[in-house]
Amino acid sequence: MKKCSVIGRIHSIDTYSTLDGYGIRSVVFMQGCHLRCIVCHNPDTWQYADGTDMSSDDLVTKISRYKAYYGAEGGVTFSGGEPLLQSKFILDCVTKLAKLGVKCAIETSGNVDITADISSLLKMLDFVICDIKYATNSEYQDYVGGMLGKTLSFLKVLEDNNIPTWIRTVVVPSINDNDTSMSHISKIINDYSNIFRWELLPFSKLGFHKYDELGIENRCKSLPDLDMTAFNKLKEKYEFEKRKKL
Amino acid sequence: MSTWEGFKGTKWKKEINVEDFILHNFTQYNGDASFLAGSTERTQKVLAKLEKLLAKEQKNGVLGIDTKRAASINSHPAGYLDKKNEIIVGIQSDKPLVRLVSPFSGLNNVKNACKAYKYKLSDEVLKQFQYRTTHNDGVFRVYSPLMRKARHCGIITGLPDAYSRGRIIGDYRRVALYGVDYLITKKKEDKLNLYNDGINESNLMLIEDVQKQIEGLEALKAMAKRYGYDISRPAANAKEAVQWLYFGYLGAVKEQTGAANSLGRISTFLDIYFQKDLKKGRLTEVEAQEIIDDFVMKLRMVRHLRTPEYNEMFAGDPTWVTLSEGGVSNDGRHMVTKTSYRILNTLYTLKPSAEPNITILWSKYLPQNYKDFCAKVSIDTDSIQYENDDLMRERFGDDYGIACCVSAMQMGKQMQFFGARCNIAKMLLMALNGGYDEVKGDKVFDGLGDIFEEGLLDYDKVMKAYKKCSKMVAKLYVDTLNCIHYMHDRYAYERLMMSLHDTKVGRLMAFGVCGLSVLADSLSAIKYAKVYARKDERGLITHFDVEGDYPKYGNDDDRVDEIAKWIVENFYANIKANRCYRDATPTLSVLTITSNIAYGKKTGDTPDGRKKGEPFAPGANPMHGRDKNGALASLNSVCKLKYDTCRDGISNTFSIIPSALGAKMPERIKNLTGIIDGYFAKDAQHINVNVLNKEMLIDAMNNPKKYPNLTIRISGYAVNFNKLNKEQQTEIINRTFHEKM
Repeated sequence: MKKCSVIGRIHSIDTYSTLDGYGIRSVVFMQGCHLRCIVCHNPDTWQYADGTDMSSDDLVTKISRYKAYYGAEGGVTFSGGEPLLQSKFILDCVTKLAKLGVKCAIETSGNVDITADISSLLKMLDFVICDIKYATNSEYQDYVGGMLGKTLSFLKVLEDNNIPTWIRTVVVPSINDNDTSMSHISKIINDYSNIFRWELLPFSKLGFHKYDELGIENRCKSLPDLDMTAFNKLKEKYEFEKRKKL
Repeated sequence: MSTWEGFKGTKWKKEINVEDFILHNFTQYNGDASFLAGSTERTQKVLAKLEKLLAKEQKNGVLGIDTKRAASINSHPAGYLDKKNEIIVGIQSDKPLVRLVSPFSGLNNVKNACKAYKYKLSDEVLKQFQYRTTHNDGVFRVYSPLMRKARHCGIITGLPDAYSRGRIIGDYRRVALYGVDYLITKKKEDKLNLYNDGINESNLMLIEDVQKQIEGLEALKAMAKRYGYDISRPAANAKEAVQWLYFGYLGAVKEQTGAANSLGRISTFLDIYFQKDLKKGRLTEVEAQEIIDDFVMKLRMVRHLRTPEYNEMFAGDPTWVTLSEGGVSNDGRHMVTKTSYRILNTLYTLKPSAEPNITILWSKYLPQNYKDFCAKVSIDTDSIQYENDDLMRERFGDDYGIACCVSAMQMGKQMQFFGARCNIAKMLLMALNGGYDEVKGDKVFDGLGDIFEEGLLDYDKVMKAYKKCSKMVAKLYVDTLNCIHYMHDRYAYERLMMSLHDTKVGRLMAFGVCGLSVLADSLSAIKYAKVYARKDERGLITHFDVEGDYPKYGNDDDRVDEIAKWIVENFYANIKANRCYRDATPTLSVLTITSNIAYGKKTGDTPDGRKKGEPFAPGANPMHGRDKNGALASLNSVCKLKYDTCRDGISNTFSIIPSALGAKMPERIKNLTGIIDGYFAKDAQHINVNVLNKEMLIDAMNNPKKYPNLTIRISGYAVNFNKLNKEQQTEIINRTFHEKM
């Protein structure tokens, strides 16, 4: 049988995470992203030129060494960067990992055009983590460099294919850390029957040092600290999880 | 015997066989922790008394030292913590927490230890010992010049040549099951039988040993009598079983001050008595927990007098009263009982504590309820460690206990000669320096060739020199331990502990290595990058310049992990090539406790980039900050060290904050058990799970090397905690502990 391997561009692999999906997971951070979210804590994943090449076979071989830890729920999460910019590579990895009994998920902005590869890939995943970053298109333009509409179309495709979807929203001080924004997103979410979970994440300054190191303008430098009490209130009010059958 | 009424099995009634007793009588428990009782008012009152004393002790380091009486089984009258309210009695001295002087292992150490705390050893004791050869005296009579030099430069250290060796687990259960008279009768029979083996030196030694053992058992009876107990007969109920067992242990820790005096595999055994009493309505669950609480309180009160040098080697006043919990029988039944839960419960009833050192013998056959409870206890209290029963059961059976941290031995059938560890990172430097100590400049070993030239190090040349040095150092190490243990048997024999072993006991000699990750990375650097050796004014190689990158241990990279694997195989093979005292079987551990800091101090710059004096990583852990692929990659590297090469144990510490285990407790429990299951499925032997609370995390920020390979994760964030600066780390700490854990 002819062995086919696809080359992908990787930022790094963190073999252990419990916060990027269910169970114990390894996270593959893909290199390259077309968006420029002001709150991004991985700006070192933006430029495709940075990072290293890795073949899908090498990745699968490496990941297979951690299978013993994943258990029934765990597996691999492809994150980044924007993983769906390298869907051919990820599709090959996911297909081969499936043969080994390893479950896969992705973390994506959803701000991509659906291609045939992306379609095939989505159908193979255990679940998809997708961001709804803001409730309005103008916010998407100002703070993401993308289009809300694209995300909504993406969610529609997920719904049409019954793909379990988990939404993430980063709560950003002075921008969307309020009831209006959250209830607006909540309404959007209600339109999709396949969304089983919504998680709010607190804005983090962890990536700040990376902006300095890379010499990139940090548009969040002047943002106030996130009021954690207020954040926890929002969490309590809006988060939900209709736990999918595992 | 009437006290054996209701107990099944026949073999154990005819000969000493605690394993047989357990296998025929224990009751598995598959349920959850909901049956557990909380602590009683009585327990809290007694605990409060103890805590007051502990606070006092904290201030001065010791609460008191009895300098007037040399310690032995009957050196002191009965003493109590709270005579009116205690359930299990017995302390080492006549006052709680007071430390005893035990000059049998060495007089100077005792004098120095007293001095360090501003006490003076009494004239009486000095007088008593003026004609007595101590273990320390004996060892230094026979240490060769090379042994002295090696010790002095720190290539082998922590040796039990001035303190008791420890690492012997008496089978204290025998006292409870059989009563002391039966044990004495059996030993007397054994002694008579020994004469059939002939009157030669080694047999005479054993005959004398057995006679001493008999005397030890008699002394134990007398000790118990002072507390008002007749332990000549078997225990008749749960309270007696605990008390008898504890008396055995207490006698042992009065008689000698070994570094690690572990308790062994006792809870499944004790549960048999608890079950009987509960069934007969003689005991309630509340009372059962009370007995265990009182017992564990006593275990937490064990103290030994140590010198400041010892404390530097083994920080934190450890006693390693290791309790081996759980495990599986040879016929596939898990051995978790309600008492397994009661013991863990003491971390709540009596608050968390590092002692006794609760060690879970983990297996894929353990009931999920128990696994989940253990994980919860880890997350709540950060006080337990885990070892791979599936791996060890294959080699040691179903009745082994762990001595100290990771050292398995069959209960009552095997003893060991503890041998601390060899600094193998320094061994490389010594090879490059033709036998010179790079720190002090003295020549230690002859016959290791010339000092290497300055400039680029050639891997093949380095390996040739290293192999030669490894052989030489291994031989020296064996010779040194032979001196130590010959003398220890001669002048500080642990008669009581050994009376609770089979007469023809199996002997192991436990060697160790320190600095494995430093050495592996150093050899990797020489092999895969360019390492330039630089000399100082003395002409010794004391500095290295490294050009280029190289694979580092802790990243699941076979190129360097294979080197680590080879290092231990090579050293063990060299040790095995030499004969051990009393034909003991050599074993090897990769374990340092806290001595990794002390060994680092005695070691110069190493080719991996580590600077002179910087601490090594503990045990088999990768060096701080070098694991760049996350916790599982780090665990995978350690898995590649083969247990059969390191039967004395492979220690790995895994540090994590609760939120990195998952967002909420049920997930955290599931994920922690998942990590342990996965790690042990890959044949790893040990994991010490260090779950940090906020104070510890702050400590980790200031002293990162104390918390090896700390895992902190923020969802979707690609970086290590250790790479962040203090400000960033503070932010995480504040964020992480904002929510209620």
